[in-house]
Amino acid sequence: MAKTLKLGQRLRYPITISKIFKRPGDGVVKKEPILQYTFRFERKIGDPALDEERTIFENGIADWDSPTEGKIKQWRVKEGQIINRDEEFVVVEETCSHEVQYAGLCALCGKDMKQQDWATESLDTERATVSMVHDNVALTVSHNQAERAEMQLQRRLLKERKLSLVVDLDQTIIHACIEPTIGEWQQDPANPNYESVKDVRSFQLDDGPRGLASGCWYYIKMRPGLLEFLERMAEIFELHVYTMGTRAYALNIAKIVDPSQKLFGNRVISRDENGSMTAKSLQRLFPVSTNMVVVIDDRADVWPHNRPNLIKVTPYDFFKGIGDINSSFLPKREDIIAATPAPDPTPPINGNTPSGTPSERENAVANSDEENALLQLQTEEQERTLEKQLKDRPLLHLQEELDREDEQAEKLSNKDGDSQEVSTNGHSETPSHHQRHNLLCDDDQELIFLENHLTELHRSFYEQYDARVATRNTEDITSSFIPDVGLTLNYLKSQILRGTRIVLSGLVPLGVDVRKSEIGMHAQDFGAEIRTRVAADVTHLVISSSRPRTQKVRQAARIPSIKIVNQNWLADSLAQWRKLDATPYLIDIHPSDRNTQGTQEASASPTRPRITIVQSGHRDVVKSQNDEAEDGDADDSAEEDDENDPDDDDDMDRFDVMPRDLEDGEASPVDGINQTGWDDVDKELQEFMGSDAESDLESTVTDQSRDTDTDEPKNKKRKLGDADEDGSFEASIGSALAKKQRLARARTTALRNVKNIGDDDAEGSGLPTPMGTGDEEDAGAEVAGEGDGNGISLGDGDGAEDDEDDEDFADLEAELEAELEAEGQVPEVPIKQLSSPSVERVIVNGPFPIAPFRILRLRCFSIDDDDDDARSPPTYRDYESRTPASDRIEREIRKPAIYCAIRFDLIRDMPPVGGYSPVQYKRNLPASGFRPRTWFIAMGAVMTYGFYKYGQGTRELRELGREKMWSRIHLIPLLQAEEDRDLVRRHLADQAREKELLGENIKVYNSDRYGLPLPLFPSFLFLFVYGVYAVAAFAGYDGFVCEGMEGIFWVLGWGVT
Amino acid sequence: MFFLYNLERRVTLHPSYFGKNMHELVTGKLLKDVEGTCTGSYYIISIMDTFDISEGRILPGSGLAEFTVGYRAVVWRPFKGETVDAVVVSVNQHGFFAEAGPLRIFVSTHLIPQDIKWDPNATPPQFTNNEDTTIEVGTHVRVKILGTRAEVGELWAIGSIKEDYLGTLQV
Repeated sequence: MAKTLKLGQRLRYPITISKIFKRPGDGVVKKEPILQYTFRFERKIGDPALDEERTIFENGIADWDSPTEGKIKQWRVKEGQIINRDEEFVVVEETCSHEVQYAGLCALCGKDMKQQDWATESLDTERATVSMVHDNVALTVSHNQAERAEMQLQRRLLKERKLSLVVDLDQTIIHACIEPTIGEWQQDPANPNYESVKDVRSFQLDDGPRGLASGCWYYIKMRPGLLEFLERMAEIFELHVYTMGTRAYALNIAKIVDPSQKLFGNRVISRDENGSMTAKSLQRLFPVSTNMVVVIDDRADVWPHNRPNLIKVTPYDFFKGIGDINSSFLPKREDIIAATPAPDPTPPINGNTPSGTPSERENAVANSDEENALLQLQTEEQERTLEKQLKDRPLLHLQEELDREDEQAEKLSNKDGDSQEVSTNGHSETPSHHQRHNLLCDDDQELIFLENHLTELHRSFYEQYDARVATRNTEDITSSFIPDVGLTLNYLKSQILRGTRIVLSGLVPLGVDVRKSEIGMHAQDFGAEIRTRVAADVTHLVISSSRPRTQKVRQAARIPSIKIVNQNWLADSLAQWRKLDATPYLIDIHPSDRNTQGTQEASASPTRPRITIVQSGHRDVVKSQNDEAEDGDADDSAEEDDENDPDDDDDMDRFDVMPRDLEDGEASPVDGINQTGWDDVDKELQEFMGSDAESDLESTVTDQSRDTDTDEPKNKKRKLGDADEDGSFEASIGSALAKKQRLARARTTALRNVKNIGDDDAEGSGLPTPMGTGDEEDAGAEVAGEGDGNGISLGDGDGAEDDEDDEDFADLEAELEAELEAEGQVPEVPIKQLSSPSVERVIVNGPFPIAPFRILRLRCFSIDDDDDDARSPPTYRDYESRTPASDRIEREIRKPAIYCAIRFDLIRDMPPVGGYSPVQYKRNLPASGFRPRTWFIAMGAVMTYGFYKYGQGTRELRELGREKMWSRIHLIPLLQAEEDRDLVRRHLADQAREKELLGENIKVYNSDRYGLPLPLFPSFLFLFVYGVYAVAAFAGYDGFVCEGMEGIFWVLGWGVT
Repeated sequence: MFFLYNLERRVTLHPSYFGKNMHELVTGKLLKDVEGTCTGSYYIISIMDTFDISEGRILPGSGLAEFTVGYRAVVWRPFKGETVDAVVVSVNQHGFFAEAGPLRIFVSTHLIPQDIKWDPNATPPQFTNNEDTTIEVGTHVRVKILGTRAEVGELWAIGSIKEDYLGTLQV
């Protein structure tokens, strides 16, 4: 446990060792100085503001503190040595290396590892980072310790001649669901599913999901033969459970699968201890070497780092449509191969399969908050899914549906009498005497294959191992002698499909690299070579049976060496580890796709069983109505197809597809119109054209192909699909005729349909409405010439150019007439399909509401399934135009793809007849309270009164003020007299004291200007003045009183002087 | 080690509980909130009694009433060097986990006597010296605590049975 210490990056090198405190053998404790060193450093002194800064060098002395506890073993530096960089300088024998830690505590010495101080540069917790115990993440060990533990494990396994096998639970060895229906079925022996579900085990979880799903029962179905499988495997493998379920869930299942704990022991790891919600990793259990570990799992994508060790198992899907109840946290399941040969009677109800729930990948969610939020979200998601399962009971619904189908089948069989074996959606195993068919059937064989694979792998591994150690003593086995089971497995797998070159079609979504897709990687693991293009050396074309008509199929059909098989071939081969014979999986390709140089080659491959593939969608209809009688036609057209068939060019390809569609068109639901009605129509058309060729105004849509038919019988022939001219289509595109057609179309698209009811009424023009009879239309045609008067604005102004087109228009219109005629004036059956190289089929949708202005809407289906991707519905686009002769529409339609304009919807966009009702704009508020004038007057009155009272108050105040002033005036003399008296008294007292002290009164001032104080003035004078004044006041002599104050002062002043 | 400890806690009560029996409610809430929790350095095992429930104060904003309650509780604090009896709950190649009440103690192989060895092949896997001592899930052991670490609400401990009189208990 010697540890070599380094000086550290943070010192200021170069340093000089000045003193070593501890000798070898001395003990050190943490943070104790063991070394002293000096160093030079530069320092700036002076005032930077005055630009007097300068640098000086100084010597520093520092201690180096021990970051660890132990005993000095050896010094690698001497005192006085100069050290220039970070290097190792001392070896310390540590007391404890902290190699095993539990929740931040060293499990060896019990010290807290989370403590941090200045002496240590790294955390002690970093010494043990590897978590390798199944049931606890808090327990970590160092890498060395992990290596030792693992070596021990490997030695033991080698001695017992075992390997480690990591087993997934959900859909690998068991299938779980919480649907309460299972419990009901278990109670009911009469239920058709009773046999299947009677050995389904169940348990409840205490800490299961919250909410509605809390306390629900988990129903566990073990894969057939599981116990025997595990028992046999336990002899040659040490089994581990690794599941994405919770720990309680995993333990419960382990208890069911392995009640005595003999198989798995305590080697169970669950989501709670995994550390990641989205991926499993063998490194979690075997951190150093996975050389002896094999994984079986139904999902390869959750093992991103351990693919070589993985044996992918076909998912066990016992409870149909339930999926994996613990997969909410995982990315969406990608492999599309449905290996079960019996297709589900009904597709699983959307949203019930947890695998269908959107869950995000783990990719680089660096922010832990975000991650937590994501986890929260996913937990809720899972709860929702479980609740949904409880509420919706998908299995019950499926069974009910099955029962319904059975009833129907029964009815049917009763009708038929002897045909007892009515097809029941592939559930052929159901006993025929049973009235109801069971939804759940327990016919999985995967474990048998799996056991073979594992045994084979084990054998192969130990063969290699024996060869390697044959000459050596078993004691000194090191990890280098142990062969890698991953490589072995890879080798075994890669032999399975070696030499096959596979092209996938319709199995991988568009835009995904086939080689990187789940299915592609899986196939590549097995040695198959994945190609993206069909070429001569390709051996198999694997296609989805739901999309058997892709470009690749057509291409591959031309090369006889390519076997065209459905995806089950690949799935079964991968599951059974055998290159299965392709014959039972061959797909019969559509006659028109088949590469036949005439009929002889079609018959040249009779070995292929003819499996009719029922397709969905609009083609289905075509197919269902197709008679055998048309096969000849089909072949003919296919011939044309092939000769035109370009390899890569998309545009060319689209051209190429045309004739095939012609053939489809023939078989369309409007066959009657196309084949029988047209002759009549043509006749009628001729008549019509004769009668009114100038007709310019039509309320209906016309079709150019009819036009060309009438003009050139040759084209018509081709349209019917029995002509051989190839490339005439291209020719016709560029031809003048086509140009004309385009022009005509442009006019047809918008303006030609413009009509106005008002115009009709006002002018009585009797323009033909679609509802109208033929007579009316004739009339309309006659009036058409007057076009200008109508609001229709047909652009008659450009008559010169139109002249040329008019003929076409007339034809188109006429044709429409004819069509209406042919359909017996039933506008609700508005389909007309015309096919010609001139691009579109137009289907007119009944009588148009006539409006002065409207939107033209075109719905274009592009039926280009020449692409090899598997897009399910035919794509369509809506075109909308408010302008006459929309360029855009024209441009789009002119594209030589198979667009068919399906419908012309005329949508009224204008005000209703008679205009809108007038807008009410007058304010009509309700009156309440007094009128404003009243308020005004009242305010005035209140204010007047207020001012009046205010005036009164002011007057009174002034009076009071005056009163107060006079009372003071009268008082002043009295007060003054009192004070004067006091003054005199004091003066006399002073003089008396003076006399007493000095014996006499001496003159203070040698001046005769000194006068007596005022009060000492002869008082009679004062009294006289006062008396006069008083008399005057009493006499009421106002003038005197008013000047009284002045008088007083005058008198006083005189008195002073 | 167990202690009787006087503690204090602020308990809030929702306005809908205001009434005659508020004090019982406060006590009940205190028991519910506090009993069996770990405060960081000790576990509150049981509340003996409450001796002082203060006047309630309405908290502005929420309307809850806050009572300061003094109570006396039995607390258990594991000490370094203390010897406890525990039950083994999980065994792996690095050692075993034992639970002494609420405390989970890890005893690593270094702190198990040399002669008691890990035996993964036994069912269930166990530590054994092939004589009298077998440590498997459910075994009662006497463990000396070597170190503890506390975070809010949690305590961990490292234990040892590598001393005299430690190890399995005869049941």
